[in-house]
Amino acid sequence: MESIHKTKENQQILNDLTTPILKSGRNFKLLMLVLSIVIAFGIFAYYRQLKHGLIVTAMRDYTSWGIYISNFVFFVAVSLVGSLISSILKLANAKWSYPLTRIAEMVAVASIICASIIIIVDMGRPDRFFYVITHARIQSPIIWDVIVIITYLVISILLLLLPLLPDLAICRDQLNGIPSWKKRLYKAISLNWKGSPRQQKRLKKASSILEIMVIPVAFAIHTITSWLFATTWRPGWDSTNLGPYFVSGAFMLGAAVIVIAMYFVRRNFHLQTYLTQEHFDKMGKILVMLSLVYLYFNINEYLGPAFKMVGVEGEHVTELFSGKYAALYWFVQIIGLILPIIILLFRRGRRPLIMLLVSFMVLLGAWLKRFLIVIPSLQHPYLPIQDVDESYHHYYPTWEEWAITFATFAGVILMVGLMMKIFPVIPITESINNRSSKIADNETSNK
Amino acid sequence: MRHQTNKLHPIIGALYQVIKRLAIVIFILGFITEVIAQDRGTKIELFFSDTDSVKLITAIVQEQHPQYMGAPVSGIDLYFYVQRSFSLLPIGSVFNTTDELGKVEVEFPSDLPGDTDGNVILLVKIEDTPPYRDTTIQKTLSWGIPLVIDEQQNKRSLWAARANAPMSLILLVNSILLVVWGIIGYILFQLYMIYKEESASVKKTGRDKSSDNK
Repeated sequence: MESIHKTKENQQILNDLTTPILKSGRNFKLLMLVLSIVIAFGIFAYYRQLKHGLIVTAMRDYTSWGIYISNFVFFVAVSLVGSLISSILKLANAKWSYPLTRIAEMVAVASIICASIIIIVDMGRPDRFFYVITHARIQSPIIWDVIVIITYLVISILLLLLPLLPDLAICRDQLNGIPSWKKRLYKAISLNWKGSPRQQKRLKKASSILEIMVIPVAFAIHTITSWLFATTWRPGWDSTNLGPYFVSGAFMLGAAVIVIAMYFVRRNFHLQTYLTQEHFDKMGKILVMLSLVYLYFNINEYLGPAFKMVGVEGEHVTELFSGKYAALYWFVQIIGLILPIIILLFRRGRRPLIMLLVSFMVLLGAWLKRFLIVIPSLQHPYLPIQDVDESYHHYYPTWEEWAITFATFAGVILMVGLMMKIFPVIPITESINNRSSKIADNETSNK
Repeated sequence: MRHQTNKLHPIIGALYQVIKRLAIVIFILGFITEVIAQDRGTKIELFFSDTDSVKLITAIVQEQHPQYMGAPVSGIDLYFYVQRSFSLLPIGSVFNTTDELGKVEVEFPSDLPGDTDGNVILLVKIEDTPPYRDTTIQKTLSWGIPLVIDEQQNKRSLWAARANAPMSLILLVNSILLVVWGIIGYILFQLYMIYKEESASVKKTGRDKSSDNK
């Protein structure tokens, strides 16, 4: 364990990867300040919501799930990135992906925490949250969602912590000039890691189990989220396609979020040696593949109802294709899906800056897509209320809803930012091991 | 004039006293009468007939006061009710007045639900009818429509609002939870062992070194 740090190259890796923990630039501090202000504004909006009730939102009897639920689905989708990078790519023996694992796990933990918070925010009486558990009805998909979110949160934290142990031990033993609270934190959560064979064996066993287990749980979390809709009888949701449609969309979004995170980590922490153009190229290929899968499920989702155009289902599809939501719908499909596929198919399109722009297009499209999944369906109930209030027919989120939504975005970025200031953003031990194995491979090939 | 007024005063006073005492006596007598009148009990006899699906209730009211024992009570209103879950449902006409034989007939509705055996509780009342005491009699009849309980709502199912989840679902969900959280527990145990084993070895090494020094 200690011997691997003795060479000059290894020391260089250690210095490179611990610099973000030791030094915080002015831009970073400014970003944290801005994010804190946005969060404080969101808390104020939530205070108003608690004081006056959900009437401060634009949600009414028809649109009873507004942007809070869109945002919830969005963040649950983002959280799937942890399983994509840390598990699927790892099990597929994609060794190139190791520098991305930590970023993916941090994003996953922050996203699932925010998704859980949004559900509480959406409740008119959050003080009654525990009734959901004490009066649980296992028939309800809402309960399945509560259970699976808690489970996925625990697994995501473990998935972040387990591979961190050797790095935390390095931080505990090798970092000087850090505040004492940080020292104590490293000491506490590194769990006495010494890198002994017994510890290595136990860690490897636990990690392998976790990497396999996270896949079904990740599929479950987003499939169950889709069942919240699919088990409710509304136009647009009454579909057996919803589970895979949601999961594929989530993986696509997760890949885009990783590209965005990679870009800023690489640039701000000067980690071009570790996050290379090749990483962007490979992530671009993954993103285009996931986008194509999502496109396939999109066609499945809309072709059937559009071909039949029956009743309220037909009204719903018409509204998306050429009605009130047409601009948004075609923006999502073209800018958020088709254009990224076209761009990413070319090698030039997989350069870091272009990848960043494409990923932002995917991100924006994905958020708006969740809006389109939730809101237009609610405005076309199968059993409309007679003499309904005019305000029920439309939904324009209030400033309180926007403030809380932006605060959740700020929350995710803030949490990821703070984690990057505590934990090495790129696995140190794996970087060193990877370098050693490369040298060994070269020596073997030279012989 | 003044002398005349003075002369009238004792007469007015005496008259006042007489009227006052008379009023008290009338009041007491009225009260006693009322009490005695309330004491006049009645006997309500019920007869039931079911001919060609027309169900008739016949009530005959008789005096129970020793002075008028067995005499029919005519011209009083009887009130017919059927007991429901939360209140009494009136049946018959608005006024069901006894005839000179003390008899009154009421048709029982053909569409009233009863319990699972079709039983309903009939109540016949004399209420606020001086000089007769308030009387209520009740009788269980099997004239209601037997209630068919929708057992589907009480069976375990995904959709029953009143019942619990199907056993298969409970078993499935709990098995999945047990497996997943069992694995999480196992991983946490591994983490604990990582922490504990090394602490123990550090302590042991420390102790060995200290004993070597000795």
